Amino acid sequence: MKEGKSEGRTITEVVKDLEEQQKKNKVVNPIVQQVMEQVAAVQTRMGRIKHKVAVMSGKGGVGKSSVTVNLANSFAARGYKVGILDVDLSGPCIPKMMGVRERALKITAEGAQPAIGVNGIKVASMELMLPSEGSPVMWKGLWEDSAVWRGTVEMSVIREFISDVNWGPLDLLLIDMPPASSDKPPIISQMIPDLDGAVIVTIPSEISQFIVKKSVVFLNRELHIPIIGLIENMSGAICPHCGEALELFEEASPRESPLQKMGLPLLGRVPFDRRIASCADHGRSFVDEHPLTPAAQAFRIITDSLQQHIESRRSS
Amino acid sequence: MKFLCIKCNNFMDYESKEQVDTLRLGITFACTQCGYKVAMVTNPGETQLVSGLGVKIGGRTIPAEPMEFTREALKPEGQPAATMTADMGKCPFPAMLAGSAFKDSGIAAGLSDASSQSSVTWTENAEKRLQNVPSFVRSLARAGIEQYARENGFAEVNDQVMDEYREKVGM
Repeated sequence: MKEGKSEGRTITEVVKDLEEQQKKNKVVNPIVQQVMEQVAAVQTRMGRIKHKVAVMSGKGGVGKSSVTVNLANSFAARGYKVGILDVDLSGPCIPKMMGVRERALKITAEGAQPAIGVNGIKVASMELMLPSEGSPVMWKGLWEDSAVWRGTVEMSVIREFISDVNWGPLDLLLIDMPPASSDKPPIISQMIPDLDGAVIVTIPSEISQFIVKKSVVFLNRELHIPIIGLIENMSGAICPHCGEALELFEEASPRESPLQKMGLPLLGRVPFDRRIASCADHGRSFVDEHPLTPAAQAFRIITDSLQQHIESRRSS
Repeated sequence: MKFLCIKCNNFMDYESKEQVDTLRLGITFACTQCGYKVAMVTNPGETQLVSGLGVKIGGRTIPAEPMEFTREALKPEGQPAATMTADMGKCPFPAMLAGSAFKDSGIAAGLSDASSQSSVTWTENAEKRLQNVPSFVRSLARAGIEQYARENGFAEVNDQVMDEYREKVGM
């Protein structure tokens, strides 16, 4: 898979050009000035975070958030200072999974203070700005029905989550992306040009792999986001009564899936375990509470690979 | 964007801007040669789109607070969908120009008068011709034509008035 700088220009590059033009013309456009300040704020905040990894999938319902939370807990157990940014603005579920649903983001002069969940993991999410559990996310404005306007607003909201949340120094920021989204990954790749990469979550069904393949091509070929590897979630199950391994999907995942044929390394297969869902529902850490289960072991193996990747990338 | 003066064909320069309301900005341009002025008002939707970038139109006077945009953009529960109000649908030119550099020129007064108490009538054909003017400047054109008619002693806007006015403004 390709890894490297985008052929297109990043926001930073565009703003630098504008800055030079403004210096040359000795005119400061107030809008451009504000955009430059926004970019500077993003860079300052992200500069204190060693590694940034996006958790993505083109398909909904494959367990991205669940994987994100378990990876966060696995890294925290290894002494990493971890944060989770929930970019799923319309369906934010990280706060509930991390047991911080009731802890609203506190606005201070230093920035919005993230909620702190199990294992000291910091969490920022749209959910923490909503008045109640049942509140949907709605934007106000004359163009509420306009997808173009909503897209612009959501881009600014994500930008604020990146620049205004006072993460402090972190070793790892996991970015939980919304499903089937073509507009959010470009925002992330533009705003975080030093993104370590993305892990792709899928399930062993042909439909999932069919859809996920499209998003992999989009992320890698169009956005030049490095794909770190693939996580196959719900990859079989262990019978809670007899401990026998079962295939959840009629067509078992082939030894080498179409995604692996694209050159994507398989980071690991996580078997379905209903205790993962139960822990998520109650804001508890599955990998800590059930460390000996095959699923927890799978998360540790995935964490090994991911840790090796990001640390080797940093040292190189 | 540059405008050409319809009188002397010179480039016009930006002269001033003023906030018509929270969603509209009025911008005046003046001809560097003859001083002729035109004004434009931004579309509320476009203004809102720019505001969607999290910037303040016209620049900031105080630094942005953390999560300021997100907090402002979130709609409180139970609030009905926003709609264009009757006032937003009205042409803002007369109100804007009444308080601008045009106020001494008599144009602003003419526009205000024209929009509220038109003293001239229109023939059917003149009305038909007016419909050929793009909708977003039609009110302005109507006001200008009526003012021309009043100033020149016409009680009715007819083809002759339309022709003379067109000749005068170079349309």
